[in-house]
Amino acid sequence: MVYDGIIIALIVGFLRKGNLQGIADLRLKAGYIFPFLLLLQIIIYIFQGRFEFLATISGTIFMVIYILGIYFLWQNRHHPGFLLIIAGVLMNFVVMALNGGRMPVSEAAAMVIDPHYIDVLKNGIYAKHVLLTENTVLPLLADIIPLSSPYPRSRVISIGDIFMSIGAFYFIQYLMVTLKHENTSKTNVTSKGGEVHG
Amino acid sequence: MKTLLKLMLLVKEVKFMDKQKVKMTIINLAIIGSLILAFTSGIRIT
Repeated sequence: MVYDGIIIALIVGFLRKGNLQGIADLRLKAGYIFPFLLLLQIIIYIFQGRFEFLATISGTIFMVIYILGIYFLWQNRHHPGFLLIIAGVLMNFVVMALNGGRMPVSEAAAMVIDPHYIDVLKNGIYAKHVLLTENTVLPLLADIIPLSSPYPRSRVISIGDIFMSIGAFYFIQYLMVTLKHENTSKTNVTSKGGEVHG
Repeated sequence: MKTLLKLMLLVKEVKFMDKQKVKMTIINLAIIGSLILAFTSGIRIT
């Protein structure tokens, strides 16, 4: 959903007559760290099924990745929307940390996607998820919200994901629309100033 | 039809940007996308 949110934000940005200039000029502090942290997680997803040791410590590694991510997001908190993104990541982090480093997924909500995922969750580990049970701590923040038709991509998301979506949407709108207007205003002031002195 | 219109808007936008700007736009979108994908919890992201 969050990934879709970026595409929707770009489309809305264009429809609001925004441009890509703000995105091109964006300089995130240590921005390169985020693709690296994603890559690290993907590597764990792939190999945790093959190496028992990795499966055992994967929850801890996910938590370290989240802590690093929150730290670097915090370094960029001055960007509009980032506090919402941080809030969303924190919510996901808290519920994962309280449940062994993995995100609990509601079985009822997961029924909206392929039942294969439920089987996998019941019989082993999948990505950074675990099946939500009666022992799950803070289930409210877990993956409990099903998304299905008319939404084009069926999935289960958390409240934290929604916060992240709104934050990312707001950030992209700021880069595409608000920043464009601010730059246009500055340009107009400069050229008017030139006329006066000229 | 709407999708086509949106694509046309994107192409028009990119056409007027120099190569460096296009490169930085793609890199920054990849960074934003990866930061979101890395910390989202939706079960079907992988």
